[in-house]
Amino acid sequence: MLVVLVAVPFQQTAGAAAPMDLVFWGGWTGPDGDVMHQMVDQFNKEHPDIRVTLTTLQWTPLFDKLLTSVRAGQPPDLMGMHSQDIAQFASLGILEPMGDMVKAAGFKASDFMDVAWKGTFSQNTQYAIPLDMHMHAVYVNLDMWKAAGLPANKLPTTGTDFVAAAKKLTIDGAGRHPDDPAFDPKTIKQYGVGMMNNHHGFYMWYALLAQQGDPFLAPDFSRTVFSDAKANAAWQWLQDLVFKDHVVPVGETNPYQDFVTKHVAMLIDGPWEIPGLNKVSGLRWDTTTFPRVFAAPAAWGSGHLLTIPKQSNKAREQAALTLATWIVQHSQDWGMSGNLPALLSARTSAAFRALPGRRGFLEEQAYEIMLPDVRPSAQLYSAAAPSPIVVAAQSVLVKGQPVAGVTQELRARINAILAAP
Amino acid sequence: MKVLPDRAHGHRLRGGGAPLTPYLFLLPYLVVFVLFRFGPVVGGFLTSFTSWSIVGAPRFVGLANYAALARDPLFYTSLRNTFYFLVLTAPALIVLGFGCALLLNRPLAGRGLARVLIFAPYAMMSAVVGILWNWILDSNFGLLNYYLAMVHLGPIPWLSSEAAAMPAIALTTVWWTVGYNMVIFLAGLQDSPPQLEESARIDGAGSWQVLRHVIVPLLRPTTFVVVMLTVINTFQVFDQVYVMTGGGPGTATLTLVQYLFYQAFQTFKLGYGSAIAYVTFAFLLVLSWLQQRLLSSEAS
Amino acid sequence: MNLRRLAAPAVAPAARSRQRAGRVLRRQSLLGLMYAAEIAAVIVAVAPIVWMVSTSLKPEGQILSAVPHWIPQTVTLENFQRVLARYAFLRWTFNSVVVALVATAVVVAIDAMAGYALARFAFPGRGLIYDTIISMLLVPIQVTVIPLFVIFAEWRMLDTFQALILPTTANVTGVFLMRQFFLSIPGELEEAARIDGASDLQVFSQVVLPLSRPAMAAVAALTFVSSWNNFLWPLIATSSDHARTLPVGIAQYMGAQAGTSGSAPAFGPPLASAVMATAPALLAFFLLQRYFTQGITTTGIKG
Repeated sequence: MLVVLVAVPFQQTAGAAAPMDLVFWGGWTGPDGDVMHQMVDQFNKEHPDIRVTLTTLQWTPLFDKLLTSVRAGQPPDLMGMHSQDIAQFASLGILEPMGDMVKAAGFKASDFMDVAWKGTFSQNTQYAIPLDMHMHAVYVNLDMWKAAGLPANKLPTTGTDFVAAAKKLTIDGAGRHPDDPAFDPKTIKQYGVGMMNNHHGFYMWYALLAQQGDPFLAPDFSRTVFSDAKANAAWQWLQDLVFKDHVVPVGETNPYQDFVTKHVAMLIDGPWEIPGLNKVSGLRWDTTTFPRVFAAPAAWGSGHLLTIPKQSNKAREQAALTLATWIVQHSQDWGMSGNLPALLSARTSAAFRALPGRRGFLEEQAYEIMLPDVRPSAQLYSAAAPSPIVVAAQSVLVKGQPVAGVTQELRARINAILAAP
Repeated sequence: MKVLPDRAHGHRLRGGGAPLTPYLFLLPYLVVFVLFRFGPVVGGFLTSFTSWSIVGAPRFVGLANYAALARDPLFYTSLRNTFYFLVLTAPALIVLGFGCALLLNRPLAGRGLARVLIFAPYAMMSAVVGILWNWILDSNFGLLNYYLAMVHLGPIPWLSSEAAAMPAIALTTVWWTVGYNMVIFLAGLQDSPPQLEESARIDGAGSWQVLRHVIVPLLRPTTFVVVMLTVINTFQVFDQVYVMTGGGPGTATLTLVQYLFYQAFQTFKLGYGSAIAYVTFAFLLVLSWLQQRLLSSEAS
Repeated sequence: MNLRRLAAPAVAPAARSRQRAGRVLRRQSLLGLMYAAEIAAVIVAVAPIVWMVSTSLKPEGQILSAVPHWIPQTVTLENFQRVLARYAFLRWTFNSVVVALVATAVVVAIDAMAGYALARFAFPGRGLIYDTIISMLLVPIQVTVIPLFVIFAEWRMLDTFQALILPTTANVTGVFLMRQFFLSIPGELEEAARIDGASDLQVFSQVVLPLSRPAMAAVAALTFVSSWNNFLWPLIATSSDHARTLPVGIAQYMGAQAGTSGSAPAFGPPLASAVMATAPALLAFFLLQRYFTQGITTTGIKG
C-alpha cells in the first residue's frame, strides 16, 4: 500500500491530457438512482480531467456482471454494494483493501455512523467507504388516513395499532372493513398496506425474528440457530396480513405503484422511494417506524458502501478513490435520495433534519439490524426467484403455504449453502 | 442423418484434382465450428465434473455435481415445470399452426396479408415480446383482464400467481411463435398435390373426411418436422421466462435453462450449471429419439 | 370427371335440389365461419402490437387507467425521449446491427464454401465431418454457453464484438442449407467450366456462387434475424454498454428482473423501447418476408 501511495503522485503527474474514463456501477435503479446520476454529472463538471460513467442495474444481475467483468480483466473502477456483500467479494479476492486509502482520504471511524463503519470490514480488513444506511419503515398516505377517521399525528408504531389502522383503511365494495361480519374480500377497492413479497418479504421476517430476541445464525455463521416457534410466529404475522386480515393485496406485484395510485394507504418500503414520491402531485404522506410486533423493536436495514475492485492500473484506482471521497463528502446531496447518509456531519446537519418524510427512518436508527455478512452471500441473499429467501417469502406471502413447512425448507437450504465448501 | 446418395442427382463427384481443395473450402467453417461449437460441447461436459466459481480455478470433483443434482429438489421442480410448459405450449402451437395454415390455404380474400400478419409477431425479439405481455397481463391495468372482466371472468393475477404464471408464459409463447409453424405447414400443404383432395371431394367426401383421410396423412412428414422443432424449442425456453418472471412467483416458472442460468451466473457455480446443461441435453436426446420412433415410423 | 357425375345413382329431382340447397347453405356458413376465423386470427396477432404502439405514445399518467383507450387521449413522445436520454439505446442498436451484419457476411461466405465442399467433392472423412456437424443440431445452445464464457474469458475477449460474432459463425443450419441447395442443382455448368480449364476456385466464384443467390439470401435472412434476436449468450458475454446488444439492454433494464427492488420502472419507457426495437425489425420483415419464409420452409420441409 505504501508503495502505491508513493508511486501514484508520479503517475498522476505523468500527465493525463485527455480525461480519464472512469466506470462506476451501482444498483440504485429506483428514484434514488436519479440522484446519483445528478451527483456524477456534478462531479464530472468539477473534475474536467475525469469523466465518470455511471451504470445502474438491479443489484443481483449487477453482481453477475461484476464477476464477469473481473474475469474479463475489466472490472468497474468504483463499485457500489451493501455491507452484507463485502465478505463474499473480498473472499474471492476481487476487492482492494482500502484501509490506507480511506485514511489518506481523511476519513476516520468517528466520522461515520458506527454500524455503517463496521459494515465496511471483513476479517478485520476494510474494503469500502460507507455511504449510507437504509431500512424498512412505513409510508402513510395522510389524506387516506384522515378520510378513514384515524387520529392525525398518531401514526402507528406497535403491531396492534398497525393492524388496527390497516383494517380501518381497507374498504370493500360496500364500504365495509375486514372486521365487519359482511365484509367481502373479493370486492376490496382499497387496501390498508402494500408490501413486497420478494426478498424484502424475507427482510421483514428477519426483523420480526429479531424482535423476538432470536438470533438468525450462529456467531461463526456456520449454521442457523433460530427456533421453529419464533420463526413461524414471524412468518405467520406477515401471512395473516394477506390472507386472514385481508389488508394486503394477494400477489401484489408493485406495492410502490399501488401506493402512488392510492390503491393502498400504507407502504412498507425503504427510503429510496422518497425522491419519486416527492414528484407525485397530490400525494400527502409521512413515515412511521416499522411496527413493533413482538417484545423488542427491530427493523431490517442495510448500508450502501463504495468499493474499489482490484485492478493493475493504480492510477485508475486512485481516481476512483477521488470519486468515492467526493461522493461521501457530498453526503448531503446523497441524502436527497432518501437514503440516510452514513457521514455523521451530513446526518446531523440542520439541512438534513429539515428534509421532510424521514421521521420513521430516523427514529429507527437505534434498533436497525443488518443481515449477517456471510461468505456465500450471493447464494443466500440473491434476489433471483429460485433463491432460498425469495422462495420462502413467496411461499408465505403469495401462495399462502403453511409456515411450518416453509421454515423447515428455509432452514435446510440455508444450512446447505453455509455448509458447502 | 446420412449423406444423401448423390447418384440420385445424377452428377459425378470430384474425385480427382487437387486433393487439398475440399479441405481448403471447408477450413474456415471447420475452424470456427471446432472452436465455438464442437469444442465447447466437449468442454462443457468436462466442466460438469468440476467446481468452478467464475473468478477462480476449476477444481475437479468427479461426479459430485451429478450426485448433488439427483438430490436437488429445485432441479426436479425445474424439470417438472419444463414438462408442464411443454404440455401447455407444444400442442397449442402445433394444432393452431396447422389450423391457420389450413384456413389460409383456402381461397379467402386477404389471405396473403393475413399470413404475413399472423407471422409478424415472430419477427419481434423475445425481450420485446416479454415486456409487451408483462403489460398486457398486468393484474390491475392490463388489457387481458379488462376484456376478461367484460365476460365476467377474473381478474386473474397472471404473473404473480403460482397457478396462472406458467399458462401466462405459454400464452405469450403461442402468440409469438405460432406463425412459424403456420409457415411450415403452409409450405407442406402447397407442396401436396391438389388432385387427391379434388377426387376425394368428387367421391362425395365431406370436408372433415377430406381432412382426416387425405390432408393429414399427406402432411405427415411436415407434421413430424413441426413437432420435432416445437418440442425441442419449447423444452429450451429461457428468454420469455427471464424477461417476464425470472422463474417466479416462487419457483412456479423455474425452467431447466432458467435454473442453469441461476446456478451458473447468479450463484457463480459454473460446474453445477454445466451438469444441469448436460442433463437437459440428455432429456432432449431421449425426447428426440422418442419422437423419431413414434412419428417417423408412420411417415413413409 | 363429368363421367363420374353422370354415373351417379339417380335421385329424385326434388331431393337433389334440396341436397344442393343444403350443400350451398353449408358451404356459405362454412365460408362465413372461415372468414370470421381469419379476421379473429389477424386481430389476435396484431392487436397486441397496436396496443404496444398506442401505450408508448401516452404520458405515464394516462397509461395506468382502468379503461383502456386504444387511441391515446394525449400523444406524447416523452417515453421515447426518456429512454434515449437515460439508456444507451442507440449504442445497443448500433451494436446489434454491426454484430448481425458482420456475422451474416461471414456465415454466408464460409457456409457457402463448406456446403460446396460437402456437396461436390469426395474426400476422406467427408461423411464423418458432415455427421458431426449435423449432430450438433440436437445439442441445445445452452450447453455451450458456459464453456464459451470460459474461452472468451481466457482470451480476455468478453464484452467485445468478437465474442458476439464468433459463436454465431459456428451455426449449423447455414451449412446444411447450402449443402442441400448445391445437391439440388445440376452440375453441368460446372463441368463445362472445368472443361474450359477453369480452376476449382474460379468454378466456385464465377459459376456456382451467382447461381446460389436464393439459397444465400435465405441463409443471410435467417442468420441476420437469429443474430439480431440472440439473447442468452449476449446476456452472459456482455457487461457494459460498449458491447451490449439491443435485446439484452432492454431485458436488463426493463424486464421483470428490473423490478425486483419494488420500484420497477413505469410502463411507458419499456414500451417505447419495445416500439423502437420492433419497428425496424417489422419493417425489414415485411420487405423481406419472402426470403425469410423461404429459408424456414427449406430447413423445415427438406429435413
